[in-house]
Amino acid sequence: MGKLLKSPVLEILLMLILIVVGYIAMGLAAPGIDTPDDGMSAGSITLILVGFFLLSFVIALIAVIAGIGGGVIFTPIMLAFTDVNSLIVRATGLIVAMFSGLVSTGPFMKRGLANLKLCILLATSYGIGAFLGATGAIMMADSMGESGEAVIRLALGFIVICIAGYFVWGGTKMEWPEIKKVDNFTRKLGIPMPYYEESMGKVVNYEVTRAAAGMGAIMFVGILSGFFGMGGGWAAVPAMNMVMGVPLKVAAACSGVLLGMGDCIAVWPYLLKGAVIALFAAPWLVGQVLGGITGAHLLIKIKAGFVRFILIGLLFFTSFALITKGLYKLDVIDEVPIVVNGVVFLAIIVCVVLAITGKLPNPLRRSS
Amino acid sequence: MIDRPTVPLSQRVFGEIVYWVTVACAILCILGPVVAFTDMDKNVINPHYLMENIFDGMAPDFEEQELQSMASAGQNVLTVEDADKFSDPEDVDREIKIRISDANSSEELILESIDTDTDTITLATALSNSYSLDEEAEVAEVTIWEGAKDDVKGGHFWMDHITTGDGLTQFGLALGCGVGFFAMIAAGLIFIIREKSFGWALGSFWIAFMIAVSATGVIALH
Repeated sequence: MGKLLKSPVLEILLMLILIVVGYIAMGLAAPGIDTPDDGMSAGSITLILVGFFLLSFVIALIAVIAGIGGGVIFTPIMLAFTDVNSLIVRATGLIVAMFSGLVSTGPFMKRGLANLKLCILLATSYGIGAFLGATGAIMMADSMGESGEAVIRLALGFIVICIAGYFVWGGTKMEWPEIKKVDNFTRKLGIPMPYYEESMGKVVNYEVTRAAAGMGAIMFVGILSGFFGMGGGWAAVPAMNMVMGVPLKVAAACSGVLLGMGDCIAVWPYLLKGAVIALFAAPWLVGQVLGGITGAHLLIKIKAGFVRFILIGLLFFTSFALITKGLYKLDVIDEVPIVVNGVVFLAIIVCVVLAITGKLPNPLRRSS
Repeated sequence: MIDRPTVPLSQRVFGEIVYWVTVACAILCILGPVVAFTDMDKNVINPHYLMENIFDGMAPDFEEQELQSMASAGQNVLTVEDADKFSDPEDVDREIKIRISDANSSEELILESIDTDTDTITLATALSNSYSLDEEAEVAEVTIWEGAKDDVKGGHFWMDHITTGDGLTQFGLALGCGVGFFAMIAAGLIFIIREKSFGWALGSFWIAFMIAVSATGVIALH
C-alpha cells in the first residue's frame, strides 16, 4: 500500500483513473448528444480523443525505448497520413516534443544525469533558433498558402529520410569522448558536474569543451525543431556529444531537458496564432506525459533493439508518404494509388523483419 | 560504499517544479475535454464543428486579402492581392468557404476556383451585396475559429473562458508551455541566494525572459 502512495506510482494511478473514468463517461454520454448538420458526432469525437491518447502513449513508449523525442514520430505521421493543416500539426508536434522532454526533466535532474548549467547555456541559443524557426513557419504559411503545405511535406520527407539514414548507420557517437584540451571560454563557465553512474557503480567526472561551437550547432537544431515542430533530440545529442565532448548518456538526458525548456519559447508563436487547438492537442499531451513517466520507470531497462528497426521502417514509410503527398499537392504527380502504398509498406515490413532476424546485409545489421 | 555527489539545489528544485507542473497540466488536459462534453454549446468553439473542420484541413489562420477592384451584387469573380494564398478547390477534397466584408456588409460564399495568373477567384454563387474599395473591402478564407465566442482566434482565450471545457484545456496547455518560466525563475533565485552563482542566475533569468516575451507576443518577426 505504501508503494502506491509514492511517486511516480501515485501520479500514474491518478492519471489512469481519471482517463478511464473520463473517457468512459464521454463514451456513455455520446449517444445522447445531437449532432448538428456539417458537424462531427460526439461518438466520433470520443473515438478520436481515445485513439489520439493511445497513439501518443505508444509513441511515448517507443520514444523512451529508442531514446528519441515523440515529436519526430508524431509530426511526419500526421502530415503524411492526414489532411490536417500543417500549422496545426506542427504546433501539436511541438507540444508532443516539449512534453516528452518536460516529463523526463524531473527524474534526470534529481539523479544528476542532466546538467542544469549545460542546459541553460544551450537553451539560450536553442530557444532563439526555435523561436526563429516557429516564426518562419508561420510566415511561410501566411505567404505561401496551399503550395506552402506541399513544400513543407516535401522538405520534411527528405529530412525524415536523412534521420532514418542516420539511425541506420548510427553516426560516430562516442560513449565517453576523450577531451584533450578545454578552451578558455568553456573552462570559465565551469559546466562539468560529477554524477553517479549506476551501470559502472562509480562517480563519473567529465569535461566539456567548445561551448561556443556547441551553441551554434544547437541553434541550428532549434531552427529545424521550431520550423517543423518535431523536436530535435536526434540532432541535439550528437551535437553535444561530438562537438562539445559531452558523454552520450549525459547528452541524451540533457537533450530532453533542452527540448522541454527551448520549446517553451518556440511554442508560443503557434499558440498565439491559434494553431494550438486545445481539444486536438490535449490527448497527445496526456499520452506523452503518462507514456513518458511509465516508460521511464518501467521500460527503461528493456533492451529492445527491435524497436529501433521498427522505428527506422516507420520513418522510411512516412518519408515516402510525405514526398508523394508533397509532389501530389504541387501537381507534379497523380495521387499515389493505395496499392502502391501497400506494396511499399510490405517491402519495408519485409526489410524490418529481415533486419530483426539478422538476415539483412552488414551495414544495416551493424547498427543493432 | 561510494559517496554519491550531491545534486545542486537549483537543479533539484528546477526538476521538481517542471515535473509536478507537467503532471498538473496533464490532469487539466484530461478533465478539460470531459467538461467540454457536458454541454457542447458552452465551449468557445463547438467541438462538433471544430473537429470536423480540423480533419477537413481547414487552416487556423488566414491573412485577409484586400479587394483590388469594386465588387457588385450579382458578380462572381473577385480580384484579390494574391490568389495563391487561397486553397485551390481543385486540389483539396473539401468545400472552401470564404468571407467578404467591408464596413457595411458581410457574407459567406463558396469558392469555385482560383486563377493565380490574374489573381482572381471565382465564386460558386453570385454576390448578394456590393463592396467598394473606399470601405476597405477584404476577402478571407474561413478558418477553424469562425463562429468562436467573442470572436476569439486562439491564443490566451482561456483567461476569459476558464470555466468552459476548451478554456480549461487551453489553460492546461498554456501552463505547461510556461512551466519553463516559473522553473527558471526559481532556479535563478537559488543560484543567487544559496549558490552565489550570479552568472548562471543571469542565464536562468534570460531564458525566463525569452519565454515571457514569446508568450506575450511582444516580439513577432512578421
